[in-house]
Amino acid sequence: MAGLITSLTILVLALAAGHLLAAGVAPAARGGVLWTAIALCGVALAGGLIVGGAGGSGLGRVLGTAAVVLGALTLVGGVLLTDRALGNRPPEEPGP
Amino acid sequence: MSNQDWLDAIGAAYLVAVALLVWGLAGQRRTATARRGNLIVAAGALVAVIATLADRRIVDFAWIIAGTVSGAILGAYLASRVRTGAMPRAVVLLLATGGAASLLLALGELDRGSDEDVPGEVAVPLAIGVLAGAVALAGALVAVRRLRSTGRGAGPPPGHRGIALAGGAAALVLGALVVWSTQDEGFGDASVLAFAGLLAVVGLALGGLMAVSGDDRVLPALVALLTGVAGLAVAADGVALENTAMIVAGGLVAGAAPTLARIMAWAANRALIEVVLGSGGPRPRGAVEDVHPPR
Repeated sequence: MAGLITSLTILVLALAAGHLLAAGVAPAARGGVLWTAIALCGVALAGGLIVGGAGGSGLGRVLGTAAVVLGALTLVGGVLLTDRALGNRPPEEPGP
Repeated sequence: MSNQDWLDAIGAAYLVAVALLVWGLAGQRRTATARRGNLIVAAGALVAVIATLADRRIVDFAWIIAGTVSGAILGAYLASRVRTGAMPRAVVLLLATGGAASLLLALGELDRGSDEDVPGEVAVPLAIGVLAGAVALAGALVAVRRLRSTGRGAGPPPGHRGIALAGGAAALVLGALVVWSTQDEGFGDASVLAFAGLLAVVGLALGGLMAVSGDDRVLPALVALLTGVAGLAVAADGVALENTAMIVAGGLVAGAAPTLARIMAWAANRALIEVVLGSGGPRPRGAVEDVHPPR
């Protein structure tokens, strides 16, 4: 239970930090923050490493490995796409 | 190195990773430092992933290393080859893959719980991870389609708010069943995964519904909101697995993205709730739209 409290404390602090950082973003930079945030969801890769690399065989490991592939895709692809966009010009917010 | 030294080293690595993530994200607030900020965030994520490899729960490295490399190559290929006009759609597609990753790893961890005991404090966040991951996945896929064919499209199905309500209730019930079936022996072996699978399906439906509900102008805000949901999934999975990197990264995203969504919605002259539930109908041209700016 103590571990859970610690985890939740860290989560609350991260949420607050995220909110505060986002609230102060210059309008032209908003797209970039969003694109990087999308790339950051690829950190699920770390969880996939744990689930996919655990002992035993079976569905859990297959799913974990799939999560690893998708997470790495998201993280690497997202970071590189954002870098490319920021290199051209301020990235457009995904829109029509 | 003694075991404690090892643990300290891993903890230090996570500390560095978190610092890089926050510093990088802060750099993104201004366009002058935005590009560098993105790369610093990437460095932080890289440190976090490498530090996770030291987790003692990982015993078999072959497949996960191969998976990481494959995914990275795919991602790099996508990022470099997609044409400039398609880049926004590509990044929303990546949101879908991110949501899918959280969904799949939560399902995978729940599956392990069919054999072993899964404490409630792990099952609850995993259920959240399943639901949020599914919502983000489906919502993002629908959003990609909408980005390709803006201006057309039938709009939300009739009675969609009732459907959304029913879907939300179903999600709560199924989530409770998932948690309950991990605790109680009476449900049978396959039940955890069955309930979790159903929860995922409900999540997919809710995500898709949410993505068709708003009009075209809310699409940027919709994507931002879905990003927040995906971040929540990552954070929830991180709590379940006790992985600091996922908790921090997911929390940062879940905190930042909805705030961006609110700003974007206001810029599009919509209230945030309309992004989720849709508005009453097409607005007449020239109508004065009275939406208060976010405080």
